[in-house]
Order: sequence, then C-alpha cells, then structure tokens
Amino acid sequence: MTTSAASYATEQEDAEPTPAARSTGYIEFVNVKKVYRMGEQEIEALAGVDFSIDEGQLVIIAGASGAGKSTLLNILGGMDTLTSGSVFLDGAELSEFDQKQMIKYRRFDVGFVFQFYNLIPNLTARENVELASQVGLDPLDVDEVLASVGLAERAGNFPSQLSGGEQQRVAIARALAKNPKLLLCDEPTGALDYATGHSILKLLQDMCRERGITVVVITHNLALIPMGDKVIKLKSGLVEQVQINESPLSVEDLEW
Amino acid sequence: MFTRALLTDAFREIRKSPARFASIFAIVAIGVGLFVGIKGAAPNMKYTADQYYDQYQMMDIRVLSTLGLVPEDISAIKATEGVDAVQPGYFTDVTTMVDSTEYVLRVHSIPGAAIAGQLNGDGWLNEPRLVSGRMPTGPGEAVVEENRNVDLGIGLGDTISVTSGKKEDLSNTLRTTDFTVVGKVVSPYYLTFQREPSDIGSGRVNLFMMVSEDEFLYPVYTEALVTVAGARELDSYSQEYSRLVQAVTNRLDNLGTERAALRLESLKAQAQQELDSAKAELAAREAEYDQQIRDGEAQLLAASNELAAGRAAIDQGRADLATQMAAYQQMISQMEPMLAQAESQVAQLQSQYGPLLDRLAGATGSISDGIAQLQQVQADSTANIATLEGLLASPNLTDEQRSVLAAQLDREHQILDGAGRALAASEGLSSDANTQVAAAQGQLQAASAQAANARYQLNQAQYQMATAQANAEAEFAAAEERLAAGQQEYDAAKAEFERQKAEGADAIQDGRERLIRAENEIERLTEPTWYVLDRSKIYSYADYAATADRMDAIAALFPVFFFAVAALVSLTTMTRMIDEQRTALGAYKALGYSGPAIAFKYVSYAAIASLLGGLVGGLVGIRVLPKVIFDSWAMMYELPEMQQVNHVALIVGSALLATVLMTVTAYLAVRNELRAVPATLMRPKAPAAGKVILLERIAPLWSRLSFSQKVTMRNIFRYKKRFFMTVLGVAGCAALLVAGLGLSDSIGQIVPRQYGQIFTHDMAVRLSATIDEKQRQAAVDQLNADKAVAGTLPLSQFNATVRDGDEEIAATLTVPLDEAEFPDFVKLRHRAGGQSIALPASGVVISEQLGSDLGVGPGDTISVDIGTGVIKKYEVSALTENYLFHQIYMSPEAYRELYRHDPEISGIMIQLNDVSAQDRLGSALIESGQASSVTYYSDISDKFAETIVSLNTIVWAMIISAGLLAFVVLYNLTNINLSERIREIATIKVLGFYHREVAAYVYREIFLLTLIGALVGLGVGVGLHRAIMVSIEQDDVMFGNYVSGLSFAYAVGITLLFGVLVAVFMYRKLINIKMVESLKSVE
Repeated sequence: MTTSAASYATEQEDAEPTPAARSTGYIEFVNVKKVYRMGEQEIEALAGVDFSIDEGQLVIIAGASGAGKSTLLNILGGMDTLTSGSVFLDGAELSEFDQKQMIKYRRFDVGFVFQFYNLIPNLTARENVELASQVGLDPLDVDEVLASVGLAERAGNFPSQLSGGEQQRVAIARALAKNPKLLLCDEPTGALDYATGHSILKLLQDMCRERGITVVVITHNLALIPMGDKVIKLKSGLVEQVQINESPLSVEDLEW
Repeated sequence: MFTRALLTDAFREIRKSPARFASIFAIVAIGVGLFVGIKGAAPNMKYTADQYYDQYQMMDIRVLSTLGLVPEDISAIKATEGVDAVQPGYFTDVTTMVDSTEYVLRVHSIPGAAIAGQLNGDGWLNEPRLVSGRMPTGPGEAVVEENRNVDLGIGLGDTISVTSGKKEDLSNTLRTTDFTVVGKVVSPYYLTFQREPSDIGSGRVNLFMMVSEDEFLYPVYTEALVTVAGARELDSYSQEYSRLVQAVTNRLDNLGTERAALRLESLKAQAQQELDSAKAELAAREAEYDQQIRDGEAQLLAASNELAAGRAAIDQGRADLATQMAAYQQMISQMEPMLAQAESQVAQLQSQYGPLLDRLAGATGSISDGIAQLQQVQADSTANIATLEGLLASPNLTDEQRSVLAAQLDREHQILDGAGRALAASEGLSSDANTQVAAAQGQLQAASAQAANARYQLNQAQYQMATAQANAEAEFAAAEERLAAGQQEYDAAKAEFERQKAEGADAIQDGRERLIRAENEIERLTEPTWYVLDRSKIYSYADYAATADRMDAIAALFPVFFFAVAALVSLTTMTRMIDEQRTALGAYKALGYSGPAIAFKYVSYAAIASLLGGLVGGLVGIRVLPKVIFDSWAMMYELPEMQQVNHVALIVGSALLATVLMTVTAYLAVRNELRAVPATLMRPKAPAAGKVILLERIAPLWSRLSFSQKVTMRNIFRYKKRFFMTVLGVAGCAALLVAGLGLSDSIGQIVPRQYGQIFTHDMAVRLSATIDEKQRQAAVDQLNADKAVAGTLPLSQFNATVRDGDEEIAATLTVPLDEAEFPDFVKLRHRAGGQSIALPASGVVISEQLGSDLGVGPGDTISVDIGTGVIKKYEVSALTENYLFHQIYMSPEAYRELYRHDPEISGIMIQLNDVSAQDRLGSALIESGQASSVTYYSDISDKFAETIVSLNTIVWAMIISAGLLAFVVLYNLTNINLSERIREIATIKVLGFYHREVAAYVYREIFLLTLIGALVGLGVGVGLHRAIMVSIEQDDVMFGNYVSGLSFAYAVGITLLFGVLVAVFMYRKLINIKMVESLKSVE
C-alpha cells in the first residue's frame, strides 16, 4: 500500500522536516494557506492550517459554513492546490505534486464520498462501483464491497431506483472499491435523514476500524464529534482546536 | 410584467453565455445564408440576362415564313397593334475551315441603315455588343463572334472564307464568300455554348457572324425581328412579359394566316406565268426538235438510198461482170476446143506440111535452083534482051546485025520465053508445088492462122476477160471503198443523229418532267406558314432560363434540411439552458411573474440570436454565393457582369422565418418547464432515470462491452433529441461533402468517360460531300496504309432530328459499315452494370439522355428525320451510356430495311498507334479535299478540363458550408453534453480518471454519433448528389451519377476531421472543469 508513495514521488527529494512542531504523522498539513482571487478581491479560505493525522484514524473536521472545511478536504483530496505551505501524505509532499501526480494520487490513494452522492445516473449500482474498481491499482471485488455496504440485492438498480441512503452506500462502496489509503467524506449525511445518516456513519466507522483506512469526515454537525478519534475544529480558515478522543463513541450511541 | 430587472436579466443572459448564443446565431446564419445565397442566384441570373437583352434591343418576336417575307408582309407586321418596331433581315448557315476543323457559322444581316450609321441608339434590333474593332461600314466586311470556347484564330483584318457546306454553292445566297473581319462581337441572342441545330457541317451552329444586308442575294427576307411596345420595361422572364408578348404573337399568327393566303396567290400567279412561258418555250423547242429530226432523217434516208443504190450498182456491176465473165468464159470454153481443134489441125497439117515442105524444099530447092537458073537466064536474057534491044534500038544496025540481034533477041526471047516457060513451068511447078505448098502452107497457114486466130482470140478473150475483170475489180474496189466510206460517213452521221436525237429527246423529256413537277409543285404550293417565335424559342434564352430555374430548385432543397437541423440545435440548446436555470425559473414563478414574462427571457434570447444570425447570414450569403454560382455558370454561358436584384425581401423574409422557427422551438422548450409548480422547479431536477436500453437485451454483445462503452451506448440511446440533432447535422455535413465532391467527380468524369471509355477511337473524320464513292474509299485505304493508324471504321453519319411533338432534338445517327469492328471503336453498354449492347438487326440503340429527354425506353418508337425531310420511325432497342450529345446507332441491315438502299460512307473513325500523328493525318485529309472536318478527341478533353476549373469554386463552397454545419452542430452537442454532465465529469475526475480517460468518456459518444452521422450522410449524400445532377443537366450532356470511392472516403474523413477539431477545441474546457464547484452545486 505504501509502495505507491514512491511511484509518484520520483522527483521528490525527501523533505527535510521543518524544525518547528512537526510530528511524523501520516497526514501532515504545515502552514497551509489557500487564497482565492475573485476579480480584485482576495478571499483567504485557509489562513495557515497546521495539523496531523495518524494512519487508521477516524478524523472529524468540524466547523461552521465558510470555515474552510471543504477547502481543506479538497486540498487533501488532491482536487485543489494550495497557495502556500505543504501537505504531506505518507511521506510524500502532496503540495508539490504536478497535475499528473495529483491524478494518480486521486486514482489510487483517495476515495471520496460526497454530500450529494454524485453517482452516474446512467449506470447501475454495480457499474458505479465498477467505475472505481476499474481504475484502482489493487481494487476490491465489486460484489464483495457492495455486499459489505449491504446492497448485494440492489446491485442492478439505477440510482434513480435507489433511496438516498442506498445511493450514499453505493457511493461509499465506490470509494472503498478502489482500496484507497484515505477515505474523504464531505458531509456524507447532509442529505439524509436521521436514521439513514446513522447507518451511513456506522458504516464509515466500521470501515475504518475493520479495514484500517484513514477516514476523514467533514461536517458542520458538532454532534458527530464524539465518534472521531481526532477532531479538528476549523474557524475562519484556521485550526481553532484539535481534540483527541481517547475512546471515541460508537455511532449508535450518538444523538443529534 | 416586463420589469426592468427581468429585461436586465434577459439581456445579461446573452452576455453571460456567448457560446450558446453563438451556436444559435451560427446555425441560423449558415442556414439562412445558404438559402438566400442560392435562392438569390436565379433572380440575379435572370435579371442580368434581361438587362443584357434590353441593352441590345433583343427582339421580342421573330417571324419566319416558309416562303420568306416580302415587303408587304413587313408593312403588315409593322401595322399590327402592339408592334413597336420591325426589322426585316436575312440569315443563313455557312461553314468555314480553320486548320482541320469545320465550323458552322450563322450569318446574320446588319440593316443597311446601321451600316450607314443612320440608326440611333435603339434602332438596331438584335444589335451585337462590340468587343473589339468596329462594325462593318461597307461591302466585304464582317464581324465575327468572340467566343472563348471556340477560337477561330482569326484576328481583326484577317479574311474569313465561307462555303455552303452542301453541294450547291453560295453563289445564289451571298455576293461574296470572303469577308474581312473588322470587329469582334458578342450577342445576348447567343448566350449559351450550345447553339441552334444546323443542317450543315457538324449539325450545330458554332458561332455567328454579321454582314451587311446587301451581301445577301435572297429575293425575299428570311426573317423579321419585332419588338413589342412596352415589353422592354418588363422582365423578360416574368409572367407579365409573357402575356404582353403573347397578345402580339397571337395577332401576328392571325396576320400570318391572312398574309399567307395572299402570298400564296401571288406566288402561284407568278409561278404559273413562268410555267406557261416555259411551257411555250418547250413547245417551240419541241417543234424545232421535231423538225430537225425530220430533216435529219430525210437526209439520212437520202444518203441511205444513195448508199443502197451504190451497193445495187456495185452488185449489178458484179452481176454484169459475172455475166460478162461467164460469157467470156463461155466464149473461151467455146474457143478452146476450137483452138484445140485448130491447133490439132495445124499440127496435122504441119505434120503433113513438114515432109511436103521438105519435098518441096527439095523440089523447090531444085526448082529454085532451076528458077534461079532460069531466072538467071531470064535475067541474062532480059539483060541480053535489054542489051539487044538496046542494040537493036540502035539505028545503025545492019539488017544482019539486026537479024542477028533479032535472032538473038528472039533467042533471047525464046530463052526468055523458054526460061519463062520453063520458069513458068517450074514456076508453075514450083507454083504448083508452091501452090501445093502454098496450099498446104495456105492450109497450114490458114490452119495456123486459124489456130493463131483462135489463140489470139482466145488470148484476146482471156485478156479481155482478165482486163475486164481487173478493171471491173478495180472499179469495184474503188466503188466498194467509196461505198464503205460512204457507209461510214452515214453510220457516223446516223449515230450522231441518234445521239442528238436521244439527247434532244431526253432534254425535252426532262423539260417536260420538270414542267410537270413544277406544275405539281405549284399545285402543291400550300399557303406558307408563318412561324411567330417569341424569345422562348431561342435556344440560349430558353436554356438559360431553365438553368436559372434549376438553381431555384436546388435552393429549395437546402432550407428544409438546414432549418430542421437549426430547429434541433435550438431545441436542445434552449432546453439545456432552461434546465440549468430551473431554480431561477422557479424563483420568478414564486415571485409571481407570469409565464409569458418568464418565457420572454428565453424566447428573446433565441429570437435575437436567430434574427441577428439570419440577417448577417443573409447579407453575407447574398454577397458571396450568387456571384460564385453566377461565375461558375459563366463557363457555360457568354454573360456580362452579374447584376443584383433587390433581395431585401428575401433576406428579411428568410431571417424572419428562421427567427420564428427558433422562437417557437424555444417557447416550446420553456413551456414544458413553466407548467411545473415553483417548488418543483426549485428542487433539483430528478436525474434522468436510467433505463435499460435495447442493446442491453442482446446479452452476449452487452457483456462484451467494457463498462465505459456501456455508458456510451446508454448515453447515446437515451438522449434521443441530441442523437437526432447530431446525426442529422453530421449527416448533412457528410451529405454536402458527398454531393460536392461527387459533383466534381461526375462532371470531371464526363470527358474521360466519353472519350476514353465509350469512344475508344482517337479521331473522327467527316468526309466531304462533294467527292464520290471511289474517292471516299480511297481515303479509307490511304489511312489504313499509314503506319500511325491502328484501325479505321468507315461509317455513315447523319445529322438527324428527332421529333418529339413540337420540339426537335438534334442527334447524330451513326451506321457503322463494319459491324464486326464497331465495338472496338464505340462501346455500347448499359450505364448501370456495364453490360455491353450489340447493334440489333432492326431497331436502334440511342443514348440514355436522349431516351430520358423523350421519355422513351426499349420497345418505344421515335420519329427521326435524317435530313431528307422524310420522317421514319425507329424502334428503340436499348439505351446506351453516353455523356455528350445525343447519339443514335443503327446497324447496316436496319438501315437497308428502313431506307431501301445501302448506307453510303460519309465518315471514318480512326484509332491511332501514335497519337502525335493526328495533326498530320488530319491536315492531309483536309488539304486533299477528302475530308470536310476532322475532330481530335484529345483536343476536346483538354479544352473541357479547362472549363470545369470554375466548378471547383462551388465544390469548395460546399465543403466549407458542410464544415461549418458540422462544426456548429458538434460544438453545440459537446457544449450541451459538458454542461449537462458536468457533475458526472467532475466525479470521474475526482475518481482519478486521467485526462485522456475523461476525454474519452465524453468524446467516445460524440465520435460514435459522428460516425453514425457520417455513414447516414453518405446515403443522403448520394440522394442529394443525384438531385443536384438531375437539376443541372444540360440538354445534350448527361452528367451521370458517378461518385468515386475516394470521394466517399474523403467525405467521411473530412466529417470526422471536423469532429476531431471540435474535440480539440473543447478539450481545454473539458479538462479545466473545476471538480469542486461542479460537485457542490445542487444541479
């Protein structure tokens, strides 16, 4: 799993750790800034974010709307570039990746789950998962993954024939099928009702625990905080607080 | 309802989505531009021609009469209501030889007043346009047409010599046959490359020339040119014009009938007069003849009699001679025995006499001795006597003496007497003996004499006979000679007489026959027919109008197609737009705006885009296309600069039509959405339900596809509107390419096919009409003997006219005199399939175009006149592939069957071993007078290649418009696809699809649709090509329906290329889709 790190870090020299506080975490954000320019205005989405995440952790990134959560996730997920600072993942400096390397990163190492599922409407559930498995390096078996999310019987249905929760499960299955190092979830339960949301979160937690995937969940719902191993609170583009939950709650025990 | 905010929104929308606006603008611009451009061509063409006709006072009506027109006719025409001016004139067809080619020129007369410079600006009807030089001002001068397709190689100042092209020369037609070319002209009367048919030379008028009317020797006018009052101001090709001219035409027709009767009468009277005087003359001559014959005969008779008499005389002479001879013969035959007798007697006597004589001789001898003695004695005595006497005489004698003397004398006398007596006795003895002898002698003599006499007489008789005979013979000979000579003279004279008699009889008979014929003719003299022809009967005029109409027809094809595509583009674009703005729509509705007000935003968007596009496209189209089309027709026509008709109505109308169409489709798109409740609109649109497509049911096929291919398939078949729009648009592009390239193929193929595949010979020779059969055969033999000639085919060729109701179609009838060799020189075959056709023993094979013009096929009959005036019906046996000019092929047997005599050689087809020898062979044939014209097919090929160069412009125009169409459609499609599936695309980007995989994901669909569209387009293109070919067909030329395989390949290739261009164009946009924003948006 870690061999791929070397495959795209060809032109990288091993970065010298900065003398300042830098833990040897799996994921490392070092003074990351992201500035958007809209015409003449400059909007600082991230104003210097520092944090680190260990492998296999379930991390909740919480914050109000506009705090910079999505931006952070996008940078982490290789979908956006930063303005300054560095990001490290498993030793590789993500922030120095060129477009190609980014694509490879997204392809092999990251699984994404969106708020609005973003399934391909013209493909069946199975095919949607295949979409991901066919690009992965060492993908999981499609049916297995579907079964693990509990959708074995719905494999042949189109998204329009699935409920919201089922669609999200498909999305998760899709993300998992790639066998990624990292699972990024952007408000995964935002469009779902309470019960469904629960089951989705449970699924995520199980995946994290069972498979040892690092899971990062973005949410504005502070009630989810207890479920994470680590909670990073963002405010106005800066890390306000990093909270470590020694014993994170299981999802069933969460109430919101 | 139409608040300022709404209007602001509406107009901002335009600025915000320029690409979308541009799509609609572009597609409407293209469609309207093409339509207007093509539709505008025809009016321009007609207007240009009309102006040209007006500028040179082209006549509105042309009157011809089968008996020509006399001045009274002309005045009558002038006096007809509606007639503005009348110009009588002459025309005739002549040929001239340039190098080895014979050209047919129609010579028109220039009115004397024009020559003298007395006509003002408008006075000269059918005035030509002077291109160089000047008009003739005197005798012997001419102006010749300046035609870029036919170069006579004659410049100003050169002399042109013309001949009649027939057996009769021009001495009764033109004053001179050599003219000095003083100027070059063109005329609106002769716009087309193809001209009227002619009955001399090649069968078609090639050029025209004009000379003063004084050069013509016709006793009557051959034509009258008429202009109609008020016609010039009208458009020649309009209904109004037709009606105005028709009224006058009708009046002139009636006038014709009237005049016809009058003319006939006067003509008949005149003719009768002449006939009568001719008759009288004939009678006189005949009488003379008879008289002379009689005289002659009498003379001959007399001579004959003379000869007969002469012969009779000769015969009589001969008879007489014969009698004489017979008499002589008889005499001789009588004499001969007598002679024999006498001679035998003589012999007898002689035998008696002999011994007697001997005895006698002895006796005589002795007697004679005795006699001699006696005589001597006598003599002595006599002498003595004498002496004695003498002595006695002397007086002095004595008596004694005297007595002695007397005694002596007596003695002497006694001696003498005694001697005398003795003598006497001996004499008596001798005389007895002599008498005996004498008697015997006498007898003998008598007998001899008798015998001699008899002999003499016999001889005499014989001599006489011989002489008589000889004389007679000589006389006879002479007489015979004279008679023979006389006979010869007579024979000669008789022969001469007979000959002249026969001649005279023939001449008289001839004269009589001619009189009879003339009489018959006079009797048959029908009223002359006037042909009142309006402009539509002019070949050029009609042909040109037909061409313009064809352009119109083509113009009708395009809009249907383009507007269909445009409508689809509009529909899909607007639908997309509205989908994107669902929430806005919902918001407006929630705010309480009415449906129409909301719709206004979108409808106005479409309306403005299409109106602007239509106007711009129309203005550009009208500027560019008619000129392009006009200029490419200029290769077939002799035209002045193009003039523009006012096309404002067309442009505005088309633009409005397009706008209405687009607006309606936009409205339809909006209306659907507006039906929904605001809440529905503000919610994200339910993603289109995935459905199982038909293809999926074919399990084995479906399972083989990769999932991305499956996605593509599903996408294609689910979004039907887009499917049709793309396929239609791309098909249109491919169709245009196929049609355009096919146009070039078909037209470019004509000459190579005609002169390479169908005519497999290199030269064609038309033999002179004035040489005889032997000379013609000699020409063939000469050619065969030449090393450069691979083969010759003698044939009989005629300029035939096929009658089809009112119309006449010119065609060439070819009868190959060597049927076995014929297929090596001309390939008769079916165009579709290529199976060869054999010349039938009865019936004819005609060219396909002729068949389709006449509407006939195998089994039908056609009526043909090969120039003799007699119309025969031919049965059509097959239609053969042929591209240029109409052809009829007939076998010699069929010819014999129809015309009851063997076909005579009038032309030769030649195959060469060495094409470079063609000039030498051709010139030799012309110079020797054997050939009247030689055609080199290689020349035709070259010339034709030049003229089709301008075709390329049209082809390029089509390629460009095809490209634009494809580009716009595909761009639109890609745009819509991108914007509609942006979330999908962003998703897969997030999933880590490489750029090329992302591109493939989207483009695969587009390419498949493009491919399908291209293939469909090939089929449509063939149809379009056929439609265009049919509409641009010329009378004599069949373009065929050939599209080369290469053209199809190019069409597909170029279409796909456009697809690639769009893909490349859109690639950047595709790659730069921001994953983040796309995924965040609700919809």
